[in-house]
Amino acid sequence: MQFVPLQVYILVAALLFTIGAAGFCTRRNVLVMLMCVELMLTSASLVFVAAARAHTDVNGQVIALFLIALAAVEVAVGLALVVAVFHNRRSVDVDTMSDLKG
Amino acid sequence: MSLVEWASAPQFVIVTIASLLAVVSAMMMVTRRDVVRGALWLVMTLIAVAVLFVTLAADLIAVVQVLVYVGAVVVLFLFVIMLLAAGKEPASLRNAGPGRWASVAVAFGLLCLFVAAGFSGDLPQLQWGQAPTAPPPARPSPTQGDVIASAHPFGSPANVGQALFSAENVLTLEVISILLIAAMVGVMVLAKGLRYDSQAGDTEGEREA
Amino acid sequence: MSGFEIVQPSDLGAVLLILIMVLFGLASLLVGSLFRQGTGMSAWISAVGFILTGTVCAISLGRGERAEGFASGYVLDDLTYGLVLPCAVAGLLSILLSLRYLQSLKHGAGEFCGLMALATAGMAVMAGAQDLVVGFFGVELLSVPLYIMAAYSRRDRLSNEAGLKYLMIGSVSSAILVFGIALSYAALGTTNIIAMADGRLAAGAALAESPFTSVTALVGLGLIIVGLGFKAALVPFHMWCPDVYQGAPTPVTTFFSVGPKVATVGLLYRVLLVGFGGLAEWWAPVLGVVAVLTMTVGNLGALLQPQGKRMLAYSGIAHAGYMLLAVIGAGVLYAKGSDDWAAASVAIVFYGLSYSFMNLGAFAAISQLGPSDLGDVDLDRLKGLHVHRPFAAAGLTLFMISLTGIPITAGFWGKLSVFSAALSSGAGWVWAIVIIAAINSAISAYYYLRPVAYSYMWEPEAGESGETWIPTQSGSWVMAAAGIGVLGLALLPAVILNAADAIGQSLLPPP
Repeated sequence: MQFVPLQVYILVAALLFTIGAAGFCTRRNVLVMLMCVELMLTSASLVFVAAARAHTDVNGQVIALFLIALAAVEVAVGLALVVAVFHNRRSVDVDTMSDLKG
Repeated sequence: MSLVEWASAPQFVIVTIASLLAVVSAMMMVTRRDVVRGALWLVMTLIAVAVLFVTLAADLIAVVQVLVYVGAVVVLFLFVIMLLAAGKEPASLRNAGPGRWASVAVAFGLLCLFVAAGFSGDLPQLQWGQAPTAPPPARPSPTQGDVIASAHPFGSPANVGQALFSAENVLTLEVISILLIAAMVGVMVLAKGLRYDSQAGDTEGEREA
Repeated sequence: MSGFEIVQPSDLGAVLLILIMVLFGLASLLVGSLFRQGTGMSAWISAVGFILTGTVCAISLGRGERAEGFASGYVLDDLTYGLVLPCAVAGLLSILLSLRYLQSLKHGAGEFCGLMALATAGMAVMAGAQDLVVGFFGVELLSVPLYIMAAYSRRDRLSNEAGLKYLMIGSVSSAILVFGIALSYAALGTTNIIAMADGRLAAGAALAESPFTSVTALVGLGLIIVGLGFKAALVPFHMWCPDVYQGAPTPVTTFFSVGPKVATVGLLYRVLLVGFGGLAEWWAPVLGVVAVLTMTVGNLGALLQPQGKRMLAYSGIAHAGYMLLAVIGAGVLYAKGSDDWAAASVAIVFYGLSYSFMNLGAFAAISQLGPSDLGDVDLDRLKGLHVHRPFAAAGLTLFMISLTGIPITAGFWGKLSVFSAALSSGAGWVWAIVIIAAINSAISAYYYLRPVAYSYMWEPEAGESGETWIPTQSGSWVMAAAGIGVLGLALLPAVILNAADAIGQSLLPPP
């Protein structure tokens, strides 16, 4: 247990975060974009848990617990909005959502 | 401690497999055109991250991660995907404009910075098992400290539970409870009426023609 | 361990403002959803909550008191009072302004008022947060109700689209923000900004420890700035802002054009100065570039906007840039080792207050240009306003010249205090930024005075039967109240500024 440095976990988290960010930027499906946000939040909680272990400070784990609750909130609100938008437009593609332009 | 040394440690195998699984399935999730498959790959990533949590002595967090993320969040995703029949994405990665690729480039630049930073210095800076070389800066509150440094082992449910209801975290906990109420009420307002709204007759909020 | 050991009475005193807003918000939600006819009542309950909060802030502001609670995770000091005051003012006037919109709703009107109060509670959490995690969840408590309120008219395509865009950008920026917080926690071992400043970031020497720690802390700080930059719509993270402002119902736009901006800039100030002050020589120049971009892009974007809400959206972007000047000045002072940096909080508070009054007045005017609160309105509907509505035209003129910052208006004193806070740092590049800001103010006169020119120099179009100005009682009240506020701040700035002298002094715990 004592031979895996914190850096490894942070690098994995950074990779997940980057993949999530890249997916958010390139995918056009709102549902996939929301999933990418979930991925980014998970990577943050991985950093918190790893840092909690490194600092032997259990508060980091508690924060990870909070982040899981937050992810549920964002998904609930996000999916409600997606359903509402779908009722109006019959599409979940962000490129069709361009009524708001200067 | 050198790279070679920790690479030969037994824990390394578990951590490596879980990390690779997490990263590879995250990539699969992002690149699948079929949203349902993407959601299933997301499940795989989340479970792999839960395994990483277990290797960090965060058993409770790992369980909650599986229960809430996989049990609730992804199921909600799948439910909405089925409800909207929005499975396939017509335009895919190829249509991404230059601005979007620029943001991807920025993200990967950030990643490279991490790789450089993580492996440029001496690795033993933060190590497991032993107490941190310098004690973490003490919180200014006099009321705490003894509560956290309890008899329970680090990361056990009792330990996490005590920290959850310590003065440091209880405010955040209450803020989250308010947040949950706000979200719940808001979602009900948004969802209420969508069923009969789609029939004609509800002119609420109609815009000026 | 009983519950009383966890939460001391002094903890509850420290979160007084949050408690008031949450209690009234929940009561408003309850009344609004229990009684079908409860709309008016829940609006009243929320309004009383705002008035109570605002009164507490106004009375306590400038006394130099400081009450910490929850293991110093939250503090009630003058900066907190000063940041919550504009938010409460904005909330009260937005509730008043939304009465017409609430009547047009079939259901959910009561919940609307409750969500507005809960979002303000989120601003109060942000304003006093001394812990990055508390601040982050304050941001969330502010954002989630706003996502819902932006999309409140479900049948309206624009409102839906605005809500979803806001949610997508908001949730990704939350993820960026929280990843930044996680990295700084990994590097520094705590999320409490006081403990951070006392620990590894002390005296700026901190980051010499190892390349990993320093890069992690710096990247964490960068991500925190980016995340908050999205929330405050700083350039280059502003692209969502005009779309969301345009699509959301006008009272909602009014609400989130003021409070979130002021609270976010306040949180940024507290986090950067109190927590990351040791890294000031890193972040101050970055913020300088951001401020220049924010002011310039905001003003250029507003220059040719024919539509009212979009124009005010870009103008709001520019104003966030002006507010950043105070943070930059304070950062430069901190890096020099001077103790005067805390004085900049006065400028932020005064600017926030004057901005809230004049922006609310401008939005109240815009809202009366159309028959409904959805969609946007063309500014040329103002043509010839002074003929039929002399008072409305006069009020509009007052708000517009104040937003421009023409001398002896509230906006002028606000800009003056922000600019002088920046100039007190004495650095050459800060002078350059202030000069750019002054040029930007001059540019902004063009688009702010255009509505005034429309209303005074054009005659009403011949042959037009219906009037374009559709007066609403609530809109007139809001314009009157905002007008009194703007005039009061314009004529008696010394009262506020003197009271505010003490604001900076309570920013840090006594040594």
